[in-house]
Amino acid sequence: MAGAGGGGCPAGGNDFQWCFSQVKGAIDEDVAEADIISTVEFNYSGDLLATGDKGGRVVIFQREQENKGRTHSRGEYNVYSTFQSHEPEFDYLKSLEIEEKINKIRWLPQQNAAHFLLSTNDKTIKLWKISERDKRAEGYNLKDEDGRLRDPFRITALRVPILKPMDLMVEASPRRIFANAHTYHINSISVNSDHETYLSADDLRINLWHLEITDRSFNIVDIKPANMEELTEVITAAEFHPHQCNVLVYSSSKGTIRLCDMRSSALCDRHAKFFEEPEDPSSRSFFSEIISSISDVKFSHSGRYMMTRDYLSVKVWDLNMEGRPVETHQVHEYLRSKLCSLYENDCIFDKFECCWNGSDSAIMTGSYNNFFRMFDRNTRRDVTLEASRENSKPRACLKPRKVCTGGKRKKDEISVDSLDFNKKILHTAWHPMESIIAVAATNNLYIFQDKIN
Amino acid sequence: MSIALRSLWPLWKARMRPSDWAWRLRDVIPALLKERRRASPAGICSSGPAGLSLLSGQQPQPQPQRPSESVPGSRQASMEAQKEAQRIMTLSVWKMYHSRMQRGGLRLHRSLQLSLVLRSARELYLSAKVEAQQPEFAPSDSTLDPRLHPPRAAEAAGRAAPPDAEQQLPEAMDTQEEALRGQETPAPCDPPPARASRKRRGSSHPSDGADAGLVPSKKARLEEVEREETSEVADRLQLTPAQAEGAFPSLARVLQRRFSSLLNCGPPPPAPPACEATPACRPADSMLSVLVRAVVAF
Repeated sequence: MAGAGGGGCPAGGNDFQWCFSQVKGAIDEDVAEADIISTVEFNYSGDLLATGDKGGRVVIFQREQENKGRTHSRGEYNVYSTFQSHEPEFDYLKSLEIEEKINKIRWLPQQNAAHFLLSTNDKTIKLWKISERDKRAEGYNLKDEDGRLRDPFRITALRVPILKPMDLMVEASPRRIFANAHTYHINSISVNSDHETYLSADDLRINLWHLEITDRSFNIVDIKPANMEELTEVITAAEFHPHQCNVLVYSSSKGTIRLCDMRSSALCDRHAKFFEEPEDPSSRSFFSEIISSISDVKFSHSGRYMMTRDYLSVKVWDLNMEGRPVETHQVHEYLRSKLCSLYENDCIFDKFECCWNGSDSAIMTGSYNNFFRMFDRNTRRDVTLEASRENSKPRACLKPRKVCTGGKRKKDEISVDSLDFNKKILHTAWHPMESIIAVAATNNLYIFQDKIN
Repeated sequence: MSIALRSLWPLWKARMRPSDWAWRLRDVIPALLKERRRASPAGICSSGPAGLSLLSGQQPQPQPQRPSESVPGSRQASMEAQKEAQRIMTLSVWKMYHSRMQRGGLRLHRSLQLSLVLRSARELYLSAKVEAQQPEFAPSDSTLDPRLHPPRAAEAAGRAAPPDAEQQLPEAMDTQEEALRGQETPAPCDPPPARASRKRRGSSHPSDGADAGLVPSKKARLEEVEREETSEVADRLQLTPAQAEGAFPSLARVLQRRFSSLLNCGPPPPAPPACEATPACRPADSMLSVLVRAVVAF
């Protein structure tokens, strides 16, 4: 069933019917800050799902192989590996602590039996190799079974070690550490389609790395002004094109996106394309500048479109049209009149992410009160769903939620003032081929699957 | 607002003189009461154990709610807007100060956003002040720039704003000496009225009204310098990387003192619309510059 569902689903033809599948994480009301999930990412096949948290840990879930007999069960995700990726560090020169929070995880395409991923905190990027070991060599000549060296006089015969099966052990080892290249906080990493290079972006610079070389990186974008007092914008996200290895985009805090072509010059300060939507003067408000800051930019799988997320909306851009986006979807427009309060409680600075589905027919992003929103690009329909423990019965369908903006509140609607702004969904991921989504709600990871009728 | 008050109080109590503290309370309590009155009719939940909900979330818009009917409606609305803008400015400054102490250090993007809001609030404050008064003459924005920029940058700042060029250059030259003397001293971003006199006025000119409070008096500056030295030492002990960052508490304190004294003075001298309408915001960059200078060291 899982094979028949999924990627072949015609775009917009079926209405998604999302059902609860699993939830990972503690149920306690008291959430330790170190357990708050800070990034979620499926690998290229969708079999592995990696999460990073504020405590610097990476947890990888693997999808179980489905039993052929039970047609209705889809593979469940179970813990595959857990390791401490980053530790808190201290910069003695600047007297600053470097947080161990994992900002981004990006998988590398699989080339052999092992899996590779890049994880980054504010300053350091690490390449991790996750490999399985299910055999053990036994019968060494010089060592005992427990590893102690044998007394040479006791060795009377020569034997060849043989491999014996053992319990599966998943090991994660850091293969490369890319450090000391960023003065400001790293906000994005992106693996190039050539599978050899990747970029890392901080507030003012973007560096290009080779996966094999750790002591050198090339600076390809630098928007630091000569006089820092003239600073007006920072880089907020950056990504490589999924197919063209010379093209990258980066978004800014002013709501603009620049597309750069690395073939034009070594330093891509001059953009090849500049995407900006003219501001609507009627919607200008006190906080317009800060809510126009783009928090995430993602290319579509096809490479023709890209999507940007600012505080109140998601916009889909055609790479061939720089003047305005082709689609704008309002995520939580009811918050526009509450911006002052959101500024007071710091929620206005939240950085939401967004993601495409495998066929680029739908997009998803998070909101408050553990709501997340999905927009079908073909049918132009959108839905608000909630990730909560109450809706966590196995295979229970999620009921669409509605936020009432004023006036009479209908049954099952929730009013804007009752929204819980501590419960925010900043990170979501969509399986690259099937209709499976992973939604990070503070310290819990919810996995929902689409019920195919 | 209550959040701002609760958070500000322990921070500021230690460093404020009792007279300053009294002004601060006098400033905050009416705003608090107004907020509560505004919140209750709307039926908005307060932040409590149930989770963080919205406070009374209104854009800074003038809302005539005062009991006294003697003040004309538009002027009252402007004063409300002024207070709201002032509140947001204070809140922004507090957030900037607080962000220093976060794990991971100062975040450039967050600092930039805070400074943008601070600038917008300042523009709103000044435009509301303009609406509340009759426009007579233009304050000079550059007077404060020399305090924040180095002296040579002050001249550049003066040159950079064309509408006020002729006012700013003499102002810049006048204030260079003072800037050299009090270079470490941060200044508020509100300009003093410039038409009445080219030189900066101190506390010896009480007729200047509220805007005199915007101008650091010499006496106040000396006191500030002393206090700033101690606060800087304290900040260095707290591992502050940049000297400019040490200016933050003083900056916040000075801002607060100016706004408080502003509210308590008589009818302020008028300010011109032309200067305030200028979106060039080179003066506003002075606020940004203090901020980014701190970040440069980072």
